[in-house]
Amino acid sequence: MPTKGYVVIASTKVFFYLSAINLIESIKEFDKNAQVTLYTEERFLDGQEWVADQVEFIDNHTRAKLKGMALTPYDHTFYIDADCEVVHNDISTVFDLFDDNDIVFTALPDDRAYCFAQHYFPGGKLHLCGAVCLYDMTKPIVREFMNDWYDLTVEQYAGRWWPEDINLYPKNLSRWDQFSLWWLVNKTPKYKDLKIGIFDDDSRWNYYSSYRAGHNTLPVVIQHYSALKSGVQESLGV
Amino acid sequence: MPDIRNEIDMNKFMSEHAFLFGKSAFFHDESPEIIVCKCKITNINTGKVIHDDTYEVHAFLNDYLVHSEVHEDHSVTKSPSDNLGLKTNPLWYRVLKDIGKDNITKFTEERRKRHASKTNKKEIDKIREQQKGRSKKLEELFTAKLEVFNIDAIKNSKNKILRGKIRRSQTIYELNAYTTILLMEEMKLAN
Repeated sequence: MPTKGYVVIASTKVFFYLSAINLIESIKEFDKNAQVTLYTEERFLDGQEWVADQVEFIDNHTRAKLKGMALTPYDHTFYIDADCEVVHNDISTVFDLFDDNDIVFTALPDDRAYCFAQHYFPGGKLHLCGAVCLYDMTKPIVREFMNDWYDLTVEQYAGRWWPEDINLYPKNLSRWDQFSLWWLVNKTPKYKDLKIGIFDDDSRWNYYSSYRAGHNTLPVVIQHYSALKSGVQESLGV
Repeated sequence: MPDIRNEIDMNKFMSEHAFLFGKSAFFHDESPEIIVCKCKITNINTGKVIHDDTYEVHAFLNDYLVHSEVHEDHSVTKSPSDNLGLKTNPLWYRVLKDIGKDNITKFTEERRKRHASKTNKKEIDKIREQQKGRSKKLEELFTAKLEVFNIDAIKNSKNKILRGKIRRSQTIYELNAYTTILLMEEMKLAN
């Protein structure tokens, strides 16, 4: 039997740590058997980390998310952005939703483009959202993909990698890990057979608080608060 | 504009004045017997502009050719007199000729659609504003929860039940209430 668990990552800001604690408690409320690993920075620990089953330390960098995802201790992992909250018990069914895919994401479809900071670019369209991700680490191709996503994003953030044609791929996309994801999925031959799926009724699995009503047919499972302004983060002692 | 109610006076008025109609004429929403248009009327002899604004051109000069009846409840009904009949307003034909009936019909349709889409847009804007408000409230509540979980006594508390109540709070008031209860519980434990 594959092991199953959630990965939550909080680095760079106390805000993300406090959000992660809130998220983990919400996961455990709606999925009583949930195993959760929290990847965070040691400096943030404040006594609330007991809510997680396992705490691992990670460095202070935006790339920490992808490192934590690649390091997951679980065979079947569900990653959730820290600034989310689980609000429905359908969360406990998430590991049954692979549907023959290797990795499952939520989407960035046109009808929700109003909510995304950057969606279209001359060379394509960011169509996968990395806010939540269900992935099967028992498959070597998925392990390799997760490591490559991390490595490529590190290079991208450091300015050491970018596609040659900046007309097709403007440099202002380089701040998004969705772009390295897009590149691996669409432009990297070795991943052409990787089976990537989108959750059915996907908006309920990552419902941004700024979404207009009506994108989901079934109740929202994960509420996402990433529209919070930096001022709010500062008010939390960052 | 003079109040002209018969055909003879209207013909005389029209012979003494020059008329310039705006192209954006349309049939009135409630009566196809009224054309609403911009109209500039200039006295030919004096050169004085006597009207330069929206003007409602009625198809019939029927105002004084009606039979009025006052009822017991003081209400008044008017109906065209059968004997006299309705007289067509010559200015009506002039407007139709100058602007073109097809153009007026077309503009009427366009205006109707524009108004409908404006109304629709207003409704959508209203819904979006409500959603924005809801979204803002959600964000504020989430922030408040994080602030609560950053209070020493709360962050050190292992009271899963009350922590859960705080997290599931749907309003700031509920959040405040459960926060207070948990703080009191923690104070009791500390004592």
